[in-house]
Amino acid sequence: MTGSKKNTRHTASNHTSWVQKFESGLNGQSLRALRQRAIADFDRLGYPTTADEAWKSVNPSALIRTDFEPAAPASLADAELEPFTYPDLQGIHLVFVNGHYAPEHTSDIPEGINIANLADVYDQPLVKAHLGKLAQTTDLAFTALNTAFMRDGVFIHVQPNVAVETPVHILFITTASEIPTISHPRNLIIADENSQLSLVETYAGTGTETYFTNAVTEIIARDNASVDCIRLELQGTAGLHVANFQAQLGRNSRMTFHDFTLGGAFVRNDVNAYMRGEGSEATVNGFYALEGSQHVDNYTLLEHAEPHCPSHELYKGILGGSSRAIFRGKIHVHQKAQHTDAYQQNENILLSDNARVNTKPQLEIYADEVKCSHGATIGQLDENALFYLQARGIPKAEAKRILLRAFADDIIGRVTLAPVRSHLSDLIDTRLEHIDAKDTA
Amino acid sequence: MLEIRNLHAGVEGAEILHGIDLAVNAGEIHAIMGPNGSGKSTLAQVLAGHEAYSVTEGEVIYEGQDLLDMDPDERAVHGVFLAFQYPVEIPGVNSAYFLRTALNALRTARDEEEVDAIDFLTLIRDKLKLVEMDEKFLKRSVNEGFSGGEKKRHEILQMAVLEPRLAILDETDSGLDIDALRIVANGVNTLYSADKATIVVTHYQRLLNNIVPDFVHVMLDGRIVQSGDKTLALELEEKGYDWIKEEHATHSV
Repeated sequence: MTGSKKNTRHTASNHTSWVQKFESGLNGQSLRALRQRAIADFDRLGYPTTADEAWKSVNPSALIRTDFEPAAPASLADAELEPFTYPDLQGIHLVFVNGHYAPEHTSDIPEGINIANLADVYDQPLVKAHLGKLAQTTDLAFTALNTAFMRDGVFIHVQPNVAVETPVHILFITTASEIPTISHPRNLIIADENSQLSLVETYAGTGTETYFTNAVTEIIARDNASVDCIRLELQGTAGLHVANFQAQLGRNSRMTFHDFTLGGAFVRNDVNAYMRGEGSEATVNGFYALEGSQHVDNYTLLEHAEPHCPSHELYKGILGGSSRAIFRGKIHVHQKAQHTDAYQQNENILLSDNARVNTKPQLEIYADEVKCSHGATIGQLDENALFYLQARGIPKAEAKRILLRAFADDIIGRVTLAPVRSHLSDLIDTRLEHIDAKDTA
Repeated sequence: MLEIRNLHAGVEGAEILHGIDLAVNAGEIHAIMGPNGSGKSTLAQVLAGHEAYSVTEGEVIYEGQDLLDMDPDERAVHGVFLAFQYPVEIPGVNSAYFLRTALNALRTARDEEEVDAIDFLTLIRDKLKLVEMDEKFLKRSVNEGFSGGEKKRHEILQMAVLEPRLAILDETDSGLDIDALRIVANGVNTLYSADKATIVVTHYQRLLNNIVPDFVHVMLDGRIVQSGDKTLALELEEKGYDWIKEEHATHSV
């Protein structure tokens, strides 16, 4: 992609021609209309500025000042992937390196589940029918960009009445590169009626250089389906990460999403759970542990469109250094959505005087029989609890670790997939020790 | 064992303790009584090393060492224990983990072997009986959702596990019903031995029927204004604190 330095290249016709050129290099051109519409939306939207409501408190200049080149394919040995896999997870593994599908790492796929590289299945009716329907390009510039330039990613279709017992793990990894690169991972997951799927997405980088991952995941949980998602962001120290996660829930379906942001210089997560079926239930939880000058923006929307839908949302963050977190959580209850039961909470611990959090819970309610609660806290580590532990002989550093860990465990403990939970637990321990050591030093 | 000399301490620049002198020997039980706001709890917190309190004058020698120079955890390692007036809730940390971590922290600092989970279970079951607590407490977050009585029994449970030489009980009797009071007192008495010392900070005489002190000290406005034996506590029970206040006021004129 180009940057603001070269404004002359930022003309609509140029963008359109890029997309055409990009598309001609692909197998199928069946997404032409979608891509053209997306790039037209991008041209209209432009890169976000701080004048945009959704980016108000963020300066996305790091994303636009850099000239990003499309990332080139690279092959990685299994050993190089190891730090980003879950040792005990007996799952279906798919790996994407620099945005390119790396089929050599794909494990056996059981029956009842259709898994493919998205670029190979553009023409499938299910893909045509659903791709880009949830992740609208009309108001999100980076989603528009992803849609115009998407290529690889996973397409998953779980057939009706099939419970896939093996979790699917998708790893998107960006290798070190001197030239800043960009990739646009794109995933489409359809859990058909009365099916069950457990999905783990990991985004990681191996280098210390700047790169940009601009991911979009669309999930459709049809009636009575059950989908559990875990997302782990372990981008490199200069990695930029924008991710749009859109889920649509059918009647009596349930979806859980657990998001862990540990890496990256700039991370922007959009998470939207759209409860379109009566009695559907969405759980959206997140955890972030930041240090240095990391910036993480979590922007969530829980859309209650039908009656009798419970939703649960808990985001927790630990911030050290001069890191910055923004949480904007909106619960939107449509007029029709009587008996909504929505809970939202954002809690933060600041470990340093220079760390900052902005939290903005929002309720927009049009129904009258509704139970909604929300809250936010920002504070320091509880000095009294620290003293209590110390007074029992536990050294201060360990006492701090115990308290931070207990705070994080509230989210980690909700991850039901044991091998992922235990690996996450180790990662977060290491991370917390690192953050605390830096701030104490 | 413990010698407090001319201790001045306060919080945020306001002095609360205006020169405390107190000597406690092994094998002794001292009660510190006094009305609310007299500085009893401040003294307890200062002895345990709460950072919010600063010592401006005086010294505290514990077993020949400068107690004030030690971090709170070092004090615990050296055998000092404070039963908190308001035990702190720690969500997400279960009692078993907390107790074992504390015990092993002490053992590690003393170059002793750590207790493994199985040995710990044997040990803790024994101690739970002492405070008549159910094993299910071990799985609950520390103090979270505990009743007042449960919190205080949990304090004594910690004392039983950590086996301090100097125990300071800060209003452990407040908010307890007769049963809980009996359990707490029984626990303290059982844990007591001639090589140990106990300081009982209390507003009421009630607890002292069960934990019988060798000495009773009355604190008023940050000073110990009167000391005596256990009959002093009974006198306070009968007459309240006013007569001491008056007497003290007359004395200082």
